[in-house]
Amino acid sequence: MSKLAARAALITVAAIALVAVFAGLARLGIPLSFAGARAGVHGPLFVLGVFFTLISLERAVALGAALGYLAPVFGLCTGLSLVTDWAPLRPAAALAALALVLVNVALCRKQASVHMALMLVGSLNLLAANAAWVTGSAVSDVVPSWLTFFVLTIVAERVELARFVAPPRAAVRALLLLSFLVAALTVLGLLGLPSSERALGLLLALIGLWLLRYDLARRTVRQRGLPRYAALCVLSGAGWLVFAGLLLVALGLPRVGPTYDAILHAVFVGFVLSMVFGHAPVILPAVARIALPFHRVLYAPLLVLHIGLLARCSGDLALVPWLRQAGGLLNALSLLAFVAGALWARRHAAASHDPNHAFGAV
Amino acid sequence: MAHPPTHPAHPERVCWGCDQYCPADDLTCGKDTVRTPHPVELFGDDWNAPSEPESPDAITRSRAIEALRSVLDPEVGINIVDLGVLYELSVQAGAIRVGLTLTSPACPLGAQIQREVRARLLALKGVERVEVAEIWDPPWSAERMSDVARSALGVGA
Repeated sequence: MSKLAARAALITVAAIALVAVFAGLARLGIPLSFAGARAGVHGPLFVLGVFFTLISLERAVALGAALGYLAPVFGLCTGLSLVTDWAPLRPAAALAALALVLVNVALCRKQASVHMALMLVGSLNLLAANAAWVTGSAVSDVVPSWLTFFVLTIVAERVELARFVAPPRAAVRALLLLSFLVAALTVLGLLGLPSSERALGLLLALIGLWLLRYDLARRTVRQRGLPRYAALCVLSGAGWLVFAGLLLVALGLPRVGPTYDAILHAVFVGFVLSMVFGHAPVILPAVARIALPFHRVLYAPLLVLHIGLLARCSGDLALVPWLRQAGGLLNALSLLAFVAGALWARRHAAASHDPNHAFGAV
Repeated sequence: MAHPPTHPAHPERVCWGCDQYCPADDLTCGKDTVRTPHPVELFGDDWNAPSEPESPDAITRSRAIEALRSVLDPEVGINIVDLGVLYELSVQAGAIRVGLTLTSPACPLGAQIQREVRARLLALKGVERVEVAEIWDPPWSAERMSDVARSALGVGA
């Protein structure tokens, strides 16, 4: 794909993310007329328009075939249909997931492995969820499957990277078993069959604990620069996955209200967005040929993200609305701070010309 | 310091562990429990034969490998040579052929790493063409990492 197309895609993702952020703030009761009408689709905007598009773009670049880019293009269409509230475009969500399934199949054919199988299963979960969502299922019914897609995709990458440090074979098997059980459990839930959200919580908490104990990040956190930063993103994200899992075990998954809010944001902000922060400096050069040199200023948005989420979840659980609002606002600011930090790091690197930080400069 | 003979008549009768050249069964220095052998016992009569003068291609090859040590896998912070993803590097009259794998087919860094490899190699003197191929068989595994990579990750060498 041309540099230009990738950058246009990223700018569109950023615009969708902006609407999603304002929709979220409106949802928190912070008066912002700009996106108040989109408050109801804050979650789908982020999940399908932003996170899915980024992940499928990454996969399409890995595959390197033109057809692979259909997945992120359909992802953008889904996002735009939500932004504009244009219903005829909404089935793009199902096509997007289908395209990603096919991309993952193609990648499996390139080189089959257990982590590719996990990615494939994750995308199948997404396909099931999106098919249900476009045919009228409520977000709260499909959200466990959305969550599964992200957890399985991220776990697959961590399983792949775990090979560097060779954790005990039994531990890897246990992680795979936990992940496939998560997939099975959420599919059962989607089909309306008895499925326990508390059991899902237990599995998620165990997966988080596994990452905290065995992940490559435990080693790379002792390095410097980008590997250390990325490792801290992974480990802090894993901490939030444990937190979300334990909340699910204790309280189940109510369909609305503060507990629902805390659990979903612990997963999607704490786990997924934290991973996105850590991954961006690695992936952006590859995806859009935008060099994002690492600078420690990037720790600031990460810190704001976790403090904000802590405030939000405390506000949710202690029923303190202003704390929840303040947390949400901080999370919005963390995204802004990340973009600002990235731009600042680029200028800083351009000024200092440090070849060691210039990955992606050629 | 006394230089040991390069081809002693009876290397097995002497301990070659330091410059004392004690009898093989002496071992009074206490440094070891068995004598140290002479290189001629380990590597044969031609152990100190001068190696053949390197061809320009061979020199380019070793310089190319050194150059690729500056191409990092940004995810783990280890260069592609020590990581063991460099499967093949051959030089023929100024043209370099590189075979690279990735640790996963889902990894989007392939094209980026290839661009960087090409740039580093074309910057070398006497290199005119660089061809980079993706290799998926055999799959990468952790055994391909060098001891340097292992110690950087803090895993046993």
